[in-house]
Amino acid sequence: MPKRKLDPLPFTAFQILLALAGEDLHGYGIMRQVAEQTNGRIRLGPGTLYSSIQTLLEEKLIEEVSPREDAETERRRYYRLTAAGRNLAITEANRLADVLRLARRRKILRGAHV
Amino acid sequence: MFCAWHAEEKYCGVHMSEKLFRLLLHLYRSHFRDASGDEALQLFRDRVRDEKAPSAVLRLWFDLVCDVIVAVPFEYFRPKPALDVEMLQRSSDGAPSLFVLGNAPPSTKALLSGSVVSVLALTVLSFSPVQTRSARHEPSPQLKVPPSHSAWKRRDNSQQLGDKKTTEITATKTRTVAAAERQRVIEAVAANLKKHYSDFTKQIGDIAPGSNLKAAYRAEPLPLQPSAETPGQTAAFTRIEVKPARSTDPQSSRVRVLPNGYLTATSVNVIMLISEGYGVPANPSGRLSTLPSWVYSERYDIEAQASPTAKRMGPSDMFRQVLADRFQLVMRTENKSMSAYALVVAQGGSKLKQAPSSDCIFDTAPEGCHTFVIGFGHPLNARAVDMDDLAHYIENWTDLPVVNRTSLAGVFTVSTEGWRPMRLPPPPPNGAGNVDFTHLQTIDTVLGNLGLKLQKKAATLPVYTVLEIQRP
Repeated sequence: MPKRKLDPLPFTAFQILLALAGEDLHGYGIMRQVAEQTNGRIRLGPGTLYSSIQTLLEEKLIEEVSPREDAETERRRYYRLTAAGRNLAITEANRLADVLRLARRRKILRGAHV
Repeated sequence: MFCAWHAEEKYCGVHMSEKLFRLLLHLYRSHFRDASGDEALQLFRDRVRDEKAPSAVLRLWFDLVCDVIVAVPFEYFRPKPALDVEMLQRSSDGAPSLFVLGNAPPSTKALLSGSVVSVLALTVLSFSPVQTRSARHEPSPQLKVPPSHSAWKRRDNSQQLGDKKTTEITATKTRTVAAAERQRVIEAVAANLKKHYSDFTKQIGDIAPGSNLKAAYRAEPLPLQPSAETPGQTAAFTRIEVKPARSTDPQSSRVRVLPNGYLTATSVNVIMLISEGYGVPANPSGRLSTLPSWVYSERYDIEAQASPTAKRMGPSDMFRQVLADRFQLVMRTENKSMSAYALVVAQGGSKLKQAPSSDCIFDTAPEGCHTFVIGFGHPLNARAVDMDDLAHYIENWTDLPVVNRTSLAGVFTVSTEGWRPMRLPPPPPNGAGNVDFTHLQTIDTVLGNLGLKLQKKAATLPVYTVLEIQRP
């Protein structure tokens, strides 16, 4: 069975999927969204960002869409999460939630249950 | 970087920065630059526009250098897209050469030439006096033996393309068996069956005593084996997907069976499926034959959807079906009389605490149903388990099989201390060595606190021998 490129799902790819879960974004928008959702800890460089985007496109987890009508006038490529991408993000989030539950059960992490 | 964005570019810092970034871009492979170079440049411009403070500029260049260090090697290890390969050979002297077009459309000249050659070839073939054997539907004189059932079955699940092709070619050729040879093969098969399977009825009686089932000869041909199945699809399931686990961490293992017949398993090993499917301990026991090591070590992610039209299956039936369909499991079952422990209610009655069963589905998550939370000395900690679950679980460490004879219905919440195993399974490879359980209480004490006990009795239990099992 051939191994998929995104198996396991890299952290960067997961962050991009999460960034696109809210709205369609262009590359810079994704970079800013990822920086925001990680409290500025991760600022994706162009190489990492577009390499990940290319892999996600090839795996059909995201797709390119026409720019929004209210989008900036510059010619940019916008990306959207596909159903497969959303399912993968949900699966990954559930997996991480399970890990969190386990960490709380083992008293490694405190806080409310996920 | 110290002049405005729209200022004269030639002597502007922004222009210089951009030139520097363009140079950095040349470190990436050409197909990355072709596919994403413009966007990468746009992203750089956006950041330069938005991050003008000196500290932000320093941060920008720090990010870019780090990105180059991380992403460039990754890009070089990344496989190229299917058609985006370099030209294989260029013609320098006018001789024909072979190269891949990539995304470029074929030229008009090439299309016209191809059309003319195709029309000429078709014309020549149409007027050819030679006809192929297949065109006249003549049978081949070569003897063709129909493929065995297992060969057909494997065809759907083989991962190797070569195997698939071979099997399919064999299957296609079977249509042309000469009548005499066909009769000879049928007679040989009948004689073989008669010789080796004369005691069918006796075997059925052994497996299901008192069922009055008999094997009988049937003159009419039996219905054909289902042949319309596609990989990942059986009559019981509309879809079965088995993939190597994304995470091989045993702690991320989880199996769920939803009421709508959706089975999902994450990072599960095959022994767990066998254990739950056949009600045998996951630890080695006398009730299950020796298995290959990969059954314990390799983990898979599985998704299966039961067919809405199929008869409703319980979790164990679903696990068996997945094992048979995707792991080619062939199991021989024999009922044997043996000593066992009967799990019964102790004098004074059960002290078990009934659990709410409204949302009780098969779920091996720590807070799920029909599962125990792992802990030192395998304490009996579970949110909602029935007595079959309890017997099945403790059998992993008892010296005899355990059968539920409590007659207690419903699911219960249990929480006990760990207990001293009656037997120790073989330690896992690279395990932490021997663990001292001697200070723990016995299973009799633990069960006694729940109002239960084990009674040694003779019982007839199924013993399973794995005849065949394969990786998916």
